[in-house]
Amino acid sequence: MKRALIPLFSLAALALASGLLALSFGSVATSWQSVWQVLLGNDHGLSSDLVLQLRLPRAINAFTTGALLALAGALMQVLLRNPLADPYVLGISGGAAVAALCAILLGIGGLWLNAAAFAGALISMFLVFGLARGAGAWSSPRLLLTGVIVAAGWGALIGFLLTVSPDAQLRGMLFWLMGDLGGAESYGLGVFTLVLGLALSLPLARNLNVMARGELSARALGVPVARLRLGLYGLASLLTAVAVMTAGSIGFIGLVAPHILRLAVGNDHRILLPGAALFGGSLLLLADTVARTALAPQQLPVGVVTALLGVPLFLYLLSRAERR
Amino acid sequence: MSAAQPLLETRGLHLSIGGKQICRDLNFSVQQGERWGVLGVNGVGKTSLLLALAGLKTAQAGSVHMQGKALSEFTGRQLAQLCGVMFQDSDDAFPASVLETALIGRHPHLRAWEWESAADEAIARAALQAVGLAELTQRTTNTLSGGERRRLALATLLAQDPPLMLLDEPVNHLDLHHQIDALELLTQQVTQHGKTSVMVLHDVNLAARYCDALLLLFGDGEVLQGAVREVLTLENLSRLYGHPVRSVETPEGVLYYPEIRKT
Repeated sequence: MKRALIPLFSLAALALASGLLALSFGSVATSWQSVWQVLLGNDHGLSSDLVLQLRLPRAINAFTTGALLALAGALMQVLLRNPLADPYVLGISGGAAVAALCAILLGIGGLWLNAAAFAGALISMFLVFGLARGAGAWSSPRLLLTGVIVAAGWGALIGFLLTVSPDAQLRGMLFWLMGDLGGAESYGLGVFTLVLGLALSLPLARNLNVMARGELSARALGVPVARLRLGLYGLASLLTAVAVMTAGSIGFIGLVAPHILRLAVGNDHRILLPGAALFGGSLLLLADTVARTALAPQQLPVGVVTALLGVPLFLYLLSRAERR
Repeated sequence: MSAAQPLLETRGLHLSIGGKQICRDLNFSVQQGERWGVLGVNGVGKTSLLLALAGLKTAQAGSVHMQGKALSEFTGRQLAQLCGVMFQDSDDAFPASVLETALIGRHPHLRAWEWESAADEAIARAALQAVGLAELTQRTTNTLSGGERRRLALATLLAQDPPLMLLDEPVNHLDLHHQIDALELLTQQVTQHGKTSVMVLHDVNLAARYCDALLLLFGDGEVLQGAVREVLTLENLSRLYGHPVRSVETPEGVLYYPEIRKT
């Protein structure tokens, strides 16, 4: 129990620092002291509007989206017993993207666009789930392979949709595909889903540790493996769907945040699950701050930033871990 | 003890896998304090039988009981407190430290939110000490050799501390002295700590020395069971392994060996 406190407190501090940073940076720079005063409610001036109305909702969305993706990734990795699995590999976000692009092409926007993305994620999940199950057992390699193939299919459909779309809509589509936090206004659903996801997965964390050692031995140690797998798949899909609805498809966080943590603090999921949520949230918050400010007034898609920052970091950590 | 229910019992067990019959109408019972060995050639279904005994594989007919209660009446956690399994191979997708891995054995004794206590850690450390891994507690599992992994699996089972231990080739990959150490340790668990063991073994001489009773799987559902002295005849062994087996008297008991083919 005690050994969980240091990593989790460090990650919480990182999340807080990322939050203050995200709220201070922007077209009008605000010192972190005045951001602090605004958050405490001591400042009601112009910077208060800027911070509370514009930057805070976006920052909360960035944090929850990153946390949702990282948590979903960590759960899927145990489900497939493969540390390189994530919701994107399984084709869930691809399905969401296809549905969302169809909606954009048909001129549907706003809430219905989000609903389409959610439906796409769920359809993709049932597709992968059903095909991978087939007639036989629900083996991990088969599930992973089915997910990869389904994701490739979605990729082809995305290419097709982009080709036939009129120029006017292409830009919006691209932003959506690469992930964009500018669009979402409300953050209630994301926060609620994150809290729900943590509340459901944390009591199962030790079961996940056992399941990571192999399914047969997990069953021999009293873990209800079949039920747990079904629950994990459903929960991870829900978390992914809400993340995709909020910010479009942002790859990489779901894979890299848990993986970096696995290298840093080990594979105890009682630390890893809350840790991945904090770390994934911080990572996306920082990436979004960079995306907003690096080429201001031009905004970059945040998915581009996560990939540009994360890929070298990931490769470095991987090579260091190999050498050890 | 005779009045008590057998610790493990099969009633009319029919088990087949891939159209191959492993046992037919098997009535087999294990009393507390017995050491059983399961012998047979590769692919005859020793592992499948062990899994069925642990409730991890469903039989075509018949049932398995522990302490007189059908396995279906137990929750997974209750069963894991009563019966532990040492599998042939372990999975290293997510490497953990040796100590963390041994602590996995404490899982059935902890509640959902509970963390391993100092007492649990002491149990795990004692188990690692018993298998000679006390020096390696902080090593990660993916750096261990095959033999060290087997000993870690044994330590995890000891940390689980179930009255009934089912072991699938516990001494596979082990050096000779570690084979003897492991089997002596299991015997000590039975004689001094009131445990019971059923283990799949490859080596008939080890089985003769470290088991009280044997289950011979001949294939096609034919099973012979009984005390070591009764079932370990040259005729049975020759038929079991499909090769003439001979024996020689030594100061440490009878040794069995395959007849050498003359060329």
